[in-house]
Amino acid sequence: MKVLIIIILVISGYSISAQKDNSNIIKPRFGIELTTMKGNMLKGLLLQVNDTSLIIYPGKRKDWNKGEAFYPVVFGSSNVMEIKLKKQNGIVKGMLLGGSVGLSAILTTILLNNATAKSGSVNNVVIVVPAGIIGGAYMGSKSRKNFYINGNEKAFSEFQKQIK
Amino acid sequence: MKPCFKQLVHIKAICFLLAILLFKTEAAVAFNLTDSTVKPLKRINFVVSPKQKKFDQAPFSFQLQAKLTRLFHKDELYVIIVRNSEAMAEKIIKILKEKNAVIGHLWFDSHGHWQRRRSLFEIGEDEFNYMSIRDSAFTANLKKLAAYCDTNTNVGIGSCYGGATFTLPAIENFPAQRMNGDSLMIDLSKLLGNATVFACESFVMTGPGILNAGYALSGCPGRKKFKDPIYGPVWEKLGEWNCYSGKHEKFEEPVTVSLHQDGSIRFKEKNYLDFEKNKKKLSKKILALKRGNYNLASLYQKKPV
Repeated sequence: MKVLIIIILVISGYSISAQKDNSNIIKPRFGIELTTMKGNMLKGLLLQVNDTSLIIYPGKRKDWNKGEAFYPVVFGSSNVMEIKLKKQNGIVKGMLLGGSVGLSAILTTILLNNATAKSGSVNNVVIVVPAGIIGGAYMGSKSRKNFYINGNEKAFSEFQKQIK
Repeated sequence: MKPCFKQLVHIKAICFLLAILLFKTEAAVAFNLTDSTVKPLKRINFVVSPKQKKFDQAPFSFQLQAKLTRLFHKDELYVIIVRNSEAMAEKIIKILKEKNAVIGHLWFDSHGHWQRRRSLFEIGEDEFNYMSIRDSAFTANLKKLAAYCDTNTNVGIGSCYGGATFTLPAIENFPAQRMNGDSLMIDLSKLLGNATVFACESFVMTGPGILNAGYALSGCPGRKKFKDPIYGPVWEKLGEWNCYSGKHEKFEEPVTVSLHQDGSIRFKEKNYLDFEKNKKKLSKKILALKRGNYNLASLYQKKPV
């Protein structure tokens, strides 16, 4: 029994320390799709934006979560044509938003009709809510902010301000 | 009655010849028993494919087709699915010893990795390129197969751009770089008993009917990332295979290669781009190439050592 308690204590101690370590790591907020002045494209995660450059992790969020340690890539503002930013969990947020919009639409119709056509409202729930979820997920996946830089320092500093 | 001098000479000559014959047969028998390097004529064909940790459509399709084909060609074709070159050499040598045979055709099914900017093929985890193929310690397992190869052995590098000779254009921070597929082919040939080596300049497809002696190995991939001008040199050489003859120590005319049901590698009479419809298809694809379709992130995905 004592051994079991010691093992549990040791394991819990490790897990607590691991949690502490994870808390120090800052998760990148945005996914980025950068187009260079030559027209090439790089997809990754935005790590940092300085006055004249930005630093990108050249991998997916899945790679980041796995702890794949790729060298970060630095792009100077003069080499940036366009930046597309994508927020984290856009799909989930879109799904929630779409679903709630669909649900609220049904609720309002029920309230307005005073529950006269109950079977119709059930059908509506089956159709409208999933449609809202799917539509929201699609919108969430597509929603992104575009910044046209064209190697211009002013446009880049505008982008920097908006990020913060 | 005593034999005359002439008869004696004849008898002696016959005895001498008999003795030589006897000695030769005994020597041959002894040689066969003691020395295993005597190569019998039986030839076996092998296709080597990587064992996957995660599901990957391309090797899965190849392995499935190869295994199905093997059901009808059990004597000639063997499918070797391994994690590294050591396991491959062990498996192949075991089969060859059992069957008392040598390698007829050897096909390496592998991915090509564009982002590494060099011609290569992989046997499971082991990557062979123009540099690593010269590392005697690294190629020790591959070298073990040399005893079962000769100038009549055909080796196929089944990875995309495995025999590419073009120079990749410079892109962003990366300078122009030659693929050096020809060096890889020459060194592989030397490693495997001066065998004939086939490798492709362009994409190697894994669609249905790979082992049906058709043009299934050549074709246009559909993924968006390939429709970028950085793949331009690859598109221009669609269905073009280089052939290095170790016997003659030179490169032959480029051909289009096909795999037959017994696993043998042969080339087609007409090249892939000799067909008008393929030419038209290719010109359409080249016109539709658009910068920005390829994600440069894969070029930067290098881990700190």
